[in-house]
Parts: sequence; C-alpha cells; structure tokens
Amino acid sequence: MLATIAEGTACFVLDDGGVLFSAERQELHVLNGPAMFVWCCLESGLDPPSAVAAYARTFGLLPSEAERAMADVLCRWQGLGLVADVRLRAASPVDLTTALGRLLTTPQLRRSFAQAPLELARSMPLRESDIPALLALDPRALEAQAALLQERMRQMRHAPAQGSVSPPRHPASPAGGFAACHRYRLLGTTIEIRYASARAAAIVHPVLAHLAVLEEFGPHAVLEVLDAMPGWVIVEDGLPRVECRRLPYLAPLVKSAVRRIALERHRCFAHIHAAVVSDGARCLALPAAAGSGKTTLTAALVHAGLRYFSDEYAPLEAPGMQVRPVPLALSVKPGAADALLPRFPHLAQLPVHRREDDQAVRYLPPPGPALPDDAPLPISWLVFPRYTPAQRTILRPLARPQALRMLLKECLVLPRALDRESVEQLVRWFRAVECFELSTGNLDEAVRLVLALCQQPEGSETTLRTASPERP
Amino acid sequence: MVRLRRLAGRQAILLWLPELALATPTTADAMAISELRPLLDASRALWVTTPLGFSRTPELDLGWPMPLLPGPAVVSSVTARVAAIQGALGRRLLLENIAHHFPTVADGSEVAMLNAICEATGAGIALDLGALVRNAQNHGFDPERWLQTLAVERVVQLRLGEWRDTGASRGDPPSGPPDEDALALAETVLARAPVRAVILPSGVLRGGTGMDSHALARISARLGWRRMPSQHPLPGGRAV
Repeated sequence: MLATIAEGTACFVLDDGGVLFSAERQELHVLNGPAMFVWCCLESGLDPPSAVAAYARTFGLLPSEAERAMADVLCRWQGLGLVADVRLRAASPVDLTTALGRLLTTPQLRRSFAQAPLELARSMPLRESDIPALLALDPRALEAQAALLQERMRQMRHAPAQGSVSPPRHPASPAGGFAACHRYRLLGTTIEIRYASARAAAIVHPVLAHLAVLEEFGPHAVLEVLDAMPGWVIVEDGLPRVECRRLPYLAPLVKSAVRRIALERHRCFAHIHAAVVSDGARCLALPAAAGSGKTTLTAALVHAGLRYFSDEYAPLEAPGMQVRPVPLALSVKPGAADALLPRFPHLAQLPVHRREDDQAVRYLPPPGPALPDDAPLPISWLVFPRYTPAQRTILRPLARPQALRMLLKECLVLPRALDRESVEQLVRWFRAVECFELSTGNLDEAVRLVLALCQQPEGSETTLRTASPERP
Repeated sequence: MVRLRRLAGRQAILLWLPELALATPTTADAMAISELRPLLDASRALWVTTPLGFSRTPELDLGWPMPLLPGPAVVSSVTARVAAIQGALGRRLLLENIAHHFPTVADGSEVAMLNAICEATGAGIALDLGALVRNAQNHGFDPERWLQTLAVERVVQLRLGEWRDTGASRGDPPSGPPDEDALALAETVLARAPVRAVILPSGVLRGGTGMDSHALARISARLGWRRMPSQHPLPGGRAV
C-alpha cells in the first residue's frame, strides 16, 4: 500500500482526471491525469515498487522521477488530511509556511507533531534549515492556533447574509393606502410589492413587469416600498431592510431583494454565477465573472431565438443538476449598450439605474416569446466566455476537469453540506456536459458559433471552431 | 470606481488588504496584484496595510491571517515578496502585527523578522495595539519592552481597540474601546513615531463603544489634529 485513504474521502473518475472529495474538510479537489493515476494505484492497493514502476511506464519517466512525482502528490494529500501513512520517502521539500498551513488544518498531522516533531518535519519533508523553526513551536500553541482558525473558518462558512449594519428607520405605511400593488413570480415564489407612491412604482415596476402574475392566493413574501422623506425604505415582511436616498438606486435595490428572496426560498444544490439560455429542451450555461461579456452575449442569443433563463444566477437542482429559470431583466452596462442597440433599439429609451456599486445599468426585460416555463431543464453545454476586443472569436473545447475547476470558481452558494452522494451526482452530470471556452471579439460571430453548437445533434463531437479564417 | 475617485478627492484613503499572500505567493498572485493597481490609483491610497502573516498557501485558502514562523527562508522570501508588491503597486506597504498563540511573539523572533523585512524593503509598520496588548496578556510579556525592540521610527499607522473574548475566537478584530493600557502605549508610540493615521474601532465616533472622549482628545492632541475626528467621515477599522 502506498498510503491509507482517510475516512470520508472519495474519488470519482472524470475523463482522464478525477474529483477527490473530503467530507470532513468539505473540499473538492480536481485531479489531473497523473494524480488520478496515483489515486487508482492507492485504491487498488498496489505495493510501492509496483506502483512506481507502473507510473514510470505510463508517463515515460525514470523510476526515480516517478517515485518523486508520486511522493509529492501523496505528501500533499497527507498534508490535506486525505491520506495517511505515506510509504514513499522521496518527496520534494516543502516550504515552512506551506507545512504550517497543513499542520493548522489537519488534526492528524498535529497529533504526529505532538508525538514525534522531528520525524514529522522530515516526513513532510521540510528543508533542514527550516526544521528548527518548526521544532521551536509548542504543540499546545499550535493546537490553540488551529482552534482559532477552525472557529474563524466556521464563522465564515455560516456568515449571515449581508445586510445593513443598523436597521433603517421604519416609516409609517401610507394612510390612504398604497398607490400601486403588484405580484411577481420568480423560482416558484410569489412576491407582492406594495408601492407607497406612484413615482416609486413607475421606476421599479417596468423592471419586474414581465414577471407579474395575477394570483388570488396569498404571496410568499411582501415587500413595501415606502416613502421616507428623503428617499425610500424597503420593508420586507414588516421589517425595514434597506434605505435608498436617490431614485436611480431604487429599482436595483428592489430587484436585488426580489432575487434574494426567491433564491433563499429555492432548494437547490448550488448557485452558480452564470447566464443561461435554452433551445427549449436543453440549456447552455455561460459561467463567468463580471465583465466577461455574458449579459451582452445572452441578450444577443435571446434576440437570435433562444429562450432566456438568466443573465447572472443559475440555481442547479440535484440530482440531475438541472437549471430553473431566473429570468430577471438583463443588466446592460453602458459599454454593452452600443453592441445591443441594433438588436434592441428601445434600449436607448430605457432609464439608467444605479446599482449599489454605483455601476450605471439599463434593465432590458426579455421579450415575451423568450420567456420559458418555470420547469427546470438539463444543462448540455457549458461555455466559458471571455471578451477579448479586436481578437478573433474562437470556440475551443475544454477538458472536463479543467472546466470543472473553472465552474467551481463561479460557485456562489452551496446551501447544504456536501456529501458523497451529492458529489457523485455532480460528477455524473459533468461527465455528460460538453465544455468550451469562447474568446469573443465579435458579437455576431460569437452568436453564430453558439447557435451552431446548440443546433448540433446530441452526442456529436465539437472540435475547435473559429468564426473567420486564421490570420497568418 | 467613480465613487471611490470622488471620495478620494475629499478624504485620505487607507487600504487594508489582508490577502496579499506575503509568505507563499502562487502563480495567480501576479495577475491579482496587477489588477489592484486601478483601485489604488482611483483611491489615491497613501499606503497599503497587510498583516504580517499568511492566509493562503498554494493548496489552501485559510481566509484569515495566520502567524508566520520566522525561519531564514521565510524571512528572505517575505522580504523579496514585499519588495515585489511595493514595486507592482507603486505604494508603500505597511506590515501589521497580529494576535496569535505562537511563542514567536514573546521570544523576540517575530519582531526581529518584522524589523529586518522593513529595513530591507523600506516598508512601514502598522502597529495594532489591541493585538499587542492581547498578545502580552496571553504570553505574559511586557508590551513596553516589546515596543523597545520594535523599529518604532517605522510606525506610521496605529490601530486602537480592545480584542474582545468570544469563546475560542480570540483573534476577532478589535470591536470594543481601547483599554487604558493600549491608550498609554499609544501615547508612548505617538511620542516617538511618525504616526500619520490612527484607526479607531468601528462605531467609536458614534459613541457606540464607550471610548472616553478625553482619551480621544488626548490622541487628537498628540497627533496635532486641529479638529476632533468626529468631523472625519471615515471612522472605523476598515478604511475602504
């Protein structure tokens, strides 16, 4: 045996790599091919010489090189508490701070340190010149510092939702009743918004009007937009939540409250920072950080005939990781407006709002025919867009392990703790998804490439696609 | 960014960036640091403060600064890293002491490391007096003597505040008013160091922390402020 697999650690194959899951640490590690090979050797119980020989044969290395590479991987996993009792001793030295990070997060290593500090330092392995600094550390101090870190991490994981530090004042509801009242439905949640003044309704309602429903049954949540002189206060189920001083900031605050309420009430596996469109049967998700051009591309794809699911949040539902529509109005920033004006000429007439971060946006409601039913659909394609002005537009296939790493970076919320079953569902879904990277220099070309992707029959393979011939 | 520029026109801005990965830079760091440059330019930040600790390693994101162990390789890599970050950001870095459980805070090796890094790079020191008082209580040393070993002439920022006990999390950021020990230490430092900024606990100027107005007046007088800091719009532990 190369080492002992820690309890609660599981690995799932993903193409030529894998996904390693630690239930205790609540961590996912995406493995590349060589690391997955080491894990397979571990799981199949190969003795160290046989495993090293197999690794050397597979990757064309000398036995000494293979042993070092395998020892590096195993020592790293040991440092992360994924395995114990590593039986290869040829690992490259680690720096003192990396070793300290491993000690602070792995109880088993701290126990070994308390029992035999020098032996542990050499097994990590630390450089000889760094060993005295580690040995000067009192195991009790290390344990106390680890407890402090653990508490801090626990606090971060269970941090309450961001809200205002001090509750805003609660103005009285209007004596003569509300000027307007509408109900909106998002992710199966009905939210009633009562506007104290026609002015507030006139600025907010158009942003949400496409979600309006006529329901006689009681709403799941009530928001009141009350006049507060100066400004407005947004009251949620009787409690003042946020204060707004200037009119351009009001609609973004209400929109954000509606989205938060709907997402909080919706049970799902994860919230991903991604735009989503659909061909009616399958979805294409565009996970990316802000500024990658996903809203612009989404609006253009909707104009080209795809259905609109979301321009920012994709709630993935277990077990199939299907996505449900969150069709809030698209947030179009000034830089994107020019590109979208030929497709949506009325965009220029839409009012400019200000988000909390002071970003100016226009809210583009999706066209009626682009609005889907509330039913979830499977994601068949993941396309990671990157806006690269004046560059060629290229759609390039991505290896799934790499794509999973990129997707995890865009994971905003995991409402529940991960367990073996949920990770297995995630990997099973990912094995069936096609993944691409899209460098977008030209919106028309990007739309053409993505539409072509959606039109290809299920199961066919996509290779590199470029929108125009390669320049010399 | 626009708001930040507008604010910078009215108010000096100090930046606290706890995740600069002083000890274990990863390949992603160079890009992350270059992306900070526009923020610094917009804010016209006088300097950037970062804890003397590590919150990340190439394989772990701890999310909170942990103390360094002052081995020779650590001192030399942090020195190189501080110099590189100062070059990339075009700003002076201030290294801030943190509260922790390691004996290095009492045996002098940590302060020696701090002095050596600052000497080699020209970085300044952000002295967290709440952390110093807490460390002195936990490790049983005299904070005055600790200050005598510190290169006090490099202290340009003071943070005042009490480290409140909340069960196991004794490293919480200062939230209460500074105690008398910390105020006395502050006066000692202010007499000897070119301090240009004092960070007060969040809420102190709203009267929420019970900080004595005389104490505030003493600090204001020592700093040569002509106005009481209540007229400054950015109180609190986090400048931005």
